[in-house]
Amino acid sequence: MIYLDHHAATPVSPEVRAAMDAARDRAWANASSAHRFGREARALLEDARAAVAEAIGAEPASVVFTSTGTEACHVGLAGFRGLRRVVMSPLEHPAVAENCAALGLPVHRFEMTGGRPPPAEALGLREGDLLAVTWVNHETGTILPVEDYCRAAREAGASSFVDGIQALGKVPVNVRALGADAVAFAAQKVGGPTGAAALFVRRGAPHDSPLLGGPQERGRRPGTPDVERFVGFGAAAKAIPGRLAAMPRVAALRDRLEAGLLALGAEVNGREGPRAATVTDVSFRGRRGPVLVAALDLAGVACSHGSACSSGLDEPSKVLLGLYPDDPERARSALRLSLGPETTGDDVDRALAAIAKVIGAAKP
Amino acid sequence: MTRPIGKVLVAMSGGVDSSVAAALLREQGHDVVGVTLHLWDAEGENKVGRCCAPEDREDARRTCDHLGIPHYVLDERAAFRREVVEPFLDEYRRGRTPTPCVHCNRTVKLEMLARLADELGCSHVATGHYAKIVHGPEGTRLFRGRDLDKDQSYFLFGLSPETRSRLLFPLGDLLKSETRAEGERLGVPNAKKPDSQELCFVPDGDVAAFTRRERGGEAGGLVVDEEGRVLGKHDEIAAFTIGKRKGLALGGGSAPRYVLRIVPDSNTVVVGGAEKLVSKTLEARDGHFLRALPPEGLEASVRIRYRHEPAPAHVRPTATGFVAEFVEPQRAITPGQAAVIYVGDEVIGGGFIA
Repeated sequence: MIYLDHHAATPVSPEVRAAMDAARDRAWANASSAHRFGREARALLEDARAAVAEAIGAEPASVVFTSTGTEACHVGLAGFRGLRRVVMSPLEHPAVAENCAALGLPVHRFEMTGGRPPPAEALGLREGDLLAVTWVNHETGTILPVEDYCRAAREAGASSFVDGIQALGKVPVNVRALGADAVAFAAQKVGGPTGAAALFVRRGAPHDSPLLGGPQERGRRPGTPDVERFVGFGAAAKAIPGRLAAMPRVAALRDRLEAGLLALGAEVNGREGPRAATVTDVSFRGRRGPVLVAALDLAGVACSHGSACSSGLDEPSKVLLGLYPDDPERARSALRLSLGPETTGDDVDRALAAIAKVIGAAKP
Repeated sequence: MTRPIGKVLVAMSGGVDSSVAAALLREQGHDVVGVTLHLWDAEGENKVGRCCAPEDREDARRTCDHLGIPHYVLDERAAFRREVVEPFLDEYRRGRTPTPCVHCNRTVKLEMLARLADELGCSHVATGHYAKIVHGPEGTRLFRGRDLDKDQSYFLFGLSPETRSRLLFPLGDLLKSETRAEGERLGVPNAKKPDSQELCFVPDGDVAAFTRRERGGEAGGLVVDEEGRVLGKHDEIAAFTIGKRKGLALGGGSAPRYVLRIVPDSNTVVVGGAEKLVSKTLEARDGHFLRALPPEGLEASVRIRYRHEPAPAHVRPTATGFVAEFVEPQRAITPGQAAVIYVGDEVIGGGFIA
C-alpha cells in the first residue's frame, strides 16, 4: 500500500516509538498520585510538556494537554469570556465550525475571493469578536495570514483562536510571534501517536476552560492523562526541526504528483494562494470523490476525499465550497493526497500509475 | 455469455441476509468487497435497529471486519430521494399504491451498484435477495428463490439485462432458517439480528404520517359510496389503499366496506362491499420483459403484490405492457402495484397496474 493520507495521520516515527516504549513501565501510573509511581509518571508528562512548549515557542505553563485536536479546539473556543460575535473563515474543519456554532452567537464567515484570503483590515474585527481561523487548511493546505489577522484582532480588542493542527511541522510555528490567544495542536500530524494533542492559551487571555473535574492541567483539562501518548508527543516535538527541514523535498514530490494528476485531467484546488508543501487536493470532474477513494484503496493507494472526520458523507466539502462557492462539482469530485517526510519518489510514481488506471477504468 | 467471476461487490445493508451472502462468497474463495449504501436517515427513536440506521452501517462494517474484507459506505441519499422517495410520495398522492422496492432495485440499488462495481474493478454484484439467477449463453434468467415465503423475485423484474448478467444471489437456494444457521456457522456477528419488516424509509409503516411530513399540504377529501353518497371525510389520501377496511371511521353498521377506488383530483375515496373488490382483469403499463411475450399471449401466473401467491392467468402483450385475464377473480387489484408474470418459477416480466 502507498500511504498518501498524512493530513489525516502520520505514521509514528521510530524515535517516537522508542520513546514511548522506554516510558512504558513508568507511564502507566496516575500522574496525580503523590507517591513515587505518580511522581515518575508526572515527570515524564512534564518533560513532554516542556518539549512541546519549546517546539511552539511557549512557556510550559501555557500548554494544556488534551486527548484530541478536536478537544483542544473545544476547550479553546468554548472558554472565552465577553464574546458578542464569531468571525470565521469559510474553510474551517468541523472541530472549529461546530464548536463555534455551539457558542450561540452570530457567526460571520468571511469570503475568499478568487480563492485568496482577504486582507486583515477587511475582516472588520471589533471588540467582543472571537476570530477563529485555521492556519494551514487540512484539505487544500491553504495558508491563511494568521499573524496579520491576530494582530488586527488584538488592535480591535477581539479574541483570537488559531487551529494550528496542520501547521505544526509544516510551517515554522512560534505562538508568541503569532500573537493569538489560543492555538490548537495535535501529535498525530507530526509523527506522534493519535490521542495526544495540546492547546496553547496565552497568559492573561480572557479564557476559562469549560471542562470541570479535578485539578489536572491547572484545572483546564481535568482527567487522568495517558502519559505514554504524551511522551510520544514530546518526542515528536523534538523532531519538528527535522520535519521542517524536509519540507522542500516534500514540496518537490508533491509538485511531481500534482503534475501527473493534471496530466490525467484533474484540476487543483487551493493553488491560488500560499499553500503548505504536503498536500495536493484535486478534482476530477464528473467523478465522485468517495468512490475514487474506495477504488484507490482497492488499487493500493490510501488517500481521502475531504477530512477523515467527514468521510462517509457525500455532502460536498465545505472547504471547497468556501474556496469556490459557485462550483459545487469541484467539491463533490475532490481527492486529497497528502505526503510526509517518509514519502519517496517511487511512492509518487506508483501512485500515479494506480490513479491513472482507476481514472481510466469505467467512466460512470 | 457467462462472464468469469473476479472481484464481487456485495451490497450490505447490515442485515443477516446480506451479511451471510458475503460470508458464503468468501467461503467459496471469492475476492469480496463490501459496500453499504447510505440511502436514508432514520428519524428519532427509529435510529436503532431499523434499516438505514447508523447502527446498520456499523453492523455491515463489523461483518466485513470479521470476514477480513474491505468495506465502504457510499452516500446515495440524494439519488434515493430522487429515484425512490419522491416518486413514492407522488404515487400515494395520486391515489395509487406504489411498490418502491421495485424502483429502488432498478435504479439506486442494483443499477447504481453495477456502475459502482465498474468503478471499483468488480465483475459482479451480489446481494442477499431470496431469488435465483441463472447465467447462460442466451442471457440471464430469474427465478423464485427456494424459500417461497421469502421469495423476493417479485422486486427484481425491472433490472436491465446488463445488470442481471452480473448478479449473484448466494441465498437463492436457502430457506431463511438456513440462512441464520449459516450465519451462526460462519460466525457472522449479527446472525441473530431481527429482520426489518417495513419499508426501509417509512419508520413505522405509517405512510400517511410520512406523506404529511414530507409533502405537507392538505390532501383530505370525502369518502363516498358507489352512488356518490357522502359517508364521511378523511384528511390524507395517502392513508388509503385498495381493499383497505380499517380506519374508515364511518358511522352506522350493516355490511363492512372496503376501499374500491381512489380519485386523486378530488381526493375522493370510494368504498363498497367486498364483492366489488374482486376482478378477473388486470392491465399493466411500463412493461419490462425478460422473455418476450408471444403476440397471442401465454398461460402464466401473475403476482399482483408481494404478499400474494401468483395466480393463473392468460397474459398477452399490449403496446405499453400487458393484460392478464385471471382464471379466478383476484381481490384488490391495486393501481400502482407491480404485477409480475411467472411461468413456473421463472420470472418472465412485469409492469405496473394501471
